[in-house]
Amino acid sequence: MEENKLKLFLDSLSFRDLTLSVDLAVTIGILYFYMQQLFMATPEMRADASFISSLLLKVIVVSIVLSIASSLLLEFVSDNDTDKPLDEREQKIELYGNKTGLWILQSGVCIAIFQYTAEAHNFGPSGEYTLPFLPLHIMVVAFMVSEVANYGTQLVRNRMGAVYG
Amino acid sequence: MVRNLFATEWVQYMAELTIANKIKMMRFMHGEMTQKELADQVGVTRQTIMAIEAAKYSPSLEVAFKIAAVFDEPLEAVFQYKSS
Repeated sequence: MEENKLKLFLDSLSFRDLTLSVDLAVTIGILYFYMQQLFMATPEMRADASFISSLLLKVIVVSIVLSIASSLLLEFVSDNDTDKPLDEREQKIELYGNKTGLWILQSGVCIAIFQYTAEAHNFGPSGEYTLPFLPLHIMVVAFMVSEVANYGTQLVRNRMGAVYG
Repeated sequence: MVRNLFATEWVQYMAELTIANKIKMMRFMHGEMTQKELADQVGVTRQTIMAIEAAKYSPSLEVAFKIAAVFDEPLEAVFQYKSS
């Protein structure tokens, strides 16, 4: 019974669902890596610009490696599906996902600008309790969360069938 | 941007309520054609045919005409607009 359910579920998965799931997993993995590295560091390391630079470089390298690995995996399991263009419904869903991601990215940039200005003017508790390079971290996290929201929205909409509502 | 998003959603929501189709019945009448076969002939994915059949997605005019052409029927025989 459970095997049948699993088989039905796997049959219902399209290649697009699989691609989005892999992209979502990769992005969550990168976000986790960034947050883990940041919170495991000592306060002195967090205040060191070279540590932040090397962390960002590590994130970029991990992103490239995971992207290549996931592309190879998808190419391996696909039946020439990687070459097929998106159809009209998938294009609309992609647009909807991009809109959701963009909204989060814009919010993150606004919060980062506010934080930077607040720190510069010692406004409220920002000067006393701030994390070094906080506006930069806010922007990096907002970028990754926006990607997660983009892929997540597309995956949910793809599974639901409806583009909107 | 948010207002435009909701406006688009509302238009699509209304479309879901008012456009019905007989694709499932016509597939059955055309030698029990599968959703995959229809999707390949129309040039969309099986998931898109599923969504159109379930009235969760309103296709473009181009795809609607292609579906009707596969069944060799006029557009209004496949899709019906129900004014509310």
